[in-house]
Amino acid sequence: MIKKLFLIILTFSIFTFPNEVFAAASTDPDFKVAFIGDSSAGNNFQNVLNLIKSENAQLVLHQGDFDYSSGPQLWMDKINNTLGPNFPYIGSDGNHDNWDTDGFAAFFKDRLAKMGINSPVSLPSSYSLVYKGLKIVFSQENGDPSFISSQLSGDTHTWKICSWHKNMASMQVGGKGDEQGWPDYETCRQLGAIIATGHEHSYQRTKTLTNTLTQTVDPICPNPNSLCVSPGRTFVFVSGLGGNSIRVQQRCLPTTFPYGCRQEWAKIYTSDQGATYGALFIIFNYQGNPNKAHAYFKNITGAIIDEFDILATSGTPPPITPSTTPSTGGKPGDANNDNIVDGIDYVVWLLNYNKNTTQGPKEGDFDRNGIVDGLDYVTWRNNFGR
Amino acid sequence: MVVIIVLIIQSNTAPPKPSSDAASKKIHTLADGYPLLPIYPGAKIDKSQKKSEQGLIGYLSRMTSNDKVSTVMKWYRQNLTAAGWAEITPPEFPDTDKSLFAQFQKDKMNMNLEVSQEETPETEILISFPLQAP
Repeated sequence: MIKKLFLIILTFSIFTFPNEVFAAASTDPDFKVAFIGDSSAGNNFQNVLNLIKSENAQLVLHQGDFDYSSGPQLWMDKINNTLGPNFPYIGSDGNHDNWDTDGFAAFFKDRLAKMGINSPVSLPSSYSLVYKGLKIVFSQENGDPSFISSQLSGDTHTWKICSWHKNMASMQVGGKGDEQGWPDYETCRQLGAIIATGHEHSYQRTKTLTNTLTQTVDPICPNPNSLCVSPGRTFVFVSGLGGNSIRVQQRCLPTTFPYGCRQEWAKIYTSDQGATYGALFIIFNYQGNPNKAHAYFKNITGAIIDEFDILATSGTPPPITPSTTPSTGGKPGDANNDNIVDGIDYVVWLLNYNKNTTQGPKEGDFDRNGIVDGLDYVTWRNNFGR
Repeated sequence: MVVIIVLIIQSNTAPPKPSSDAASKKIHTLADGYPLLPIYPGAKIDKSQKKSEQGLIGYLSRMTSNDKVSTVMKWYRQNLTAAGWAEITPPEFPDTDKSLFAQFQKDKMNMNLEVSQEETPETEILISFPLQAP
């Protein structure tokens, strides 16, 4: 009976969910995007393009360093011959790229036009677009936080991507230094955008972070393979195995999970882990859930190296240092005890759904019956916005 | 830290002449146990790292040179081969001067060599031995 009631309420709630949670527009269903960087234009890149084609990606976001002087035309020819001259393919300016003089700006401008997107006569290296419901902001080399902020503030898209080439030393596990600047990272985190980078020639991905500068893992969304993205929290990845080279892990040793540093890394794939070239694929609006995405990194031998889910929500970020004891008072439905029953409390409930717990409201068990279930959802729903 | 002194191995294979006058012999400081390798003449070592985990060992060194990327890579290909290293993965565009990558193997030991020019005028030489059994 309770299960039936829950299903009825859940179905009803899909259509009546509070605006603060579901007002956002998601992408086309099962919209698959490939993320690569640092490719050059040789056989390794060709193999990565073949992989992208075989995975049926619908868009490529290249995080910079395209041809490495092997010839921009050769690089473009490989894309045209493999994916087609009209395939949606756009990218970030890298330190090895001559954005204007080598024709990359014109190449991407042409692709944007074929995607139905108008762009300035001369495409700058900071630009933004919406394609198939995905908001994408490219930031120029060494950072452009004011541009990012202008493009993402007030944006209502469920899924937002920040893309640039370079890193901060703590946001990669190789030998790169502080180059892009923290304001880019923190602006994107605050505005709830996934952060896609390249530059270091390996693959690595963080857990959900509530602060990139301090590499603070979200205490209420700590699962390395179930990430949360909302204003105030996101994750960062480096996808730099596009074909040019493969490097070793220098930071955050050891080379096996849970790794070192602050345990902020969910997956590291370098020469030390036997890496070869590949791409990260993210499928947005996954299997009928507009707020869910599924992601995997696949290498050119067909091996899936990393696989994880992402849940996008709105609402305010969770407190960085929550109470270590279950809340005993507070409002019904207020999981994080911030005195507001909002989307973040729903996420807490969702992440713990069907779980036995003694933590009470802190883990979404609002009626304290020891299990996070549909009745707790009803409690949250009835108190939302209070 | 124990310091290993590595002497440059001068090859008989007539490599391209480096621009540095200090090409003939030079003392380099590398991490303890760093494998014996030809070192590019005149290269300056500015980083060397050893790591070990669960019986596996890896090394990394970063050097810089004033010579062109393609010149450095050509020298390494000739001299590593002469020193018994097999070239497993040749560079894809060996005559270019931005970033070149090659992989070598000797006695089951794997080595990555990346020569690139980033945003400084110098050429960066990155030699790494991924974690492997000693």
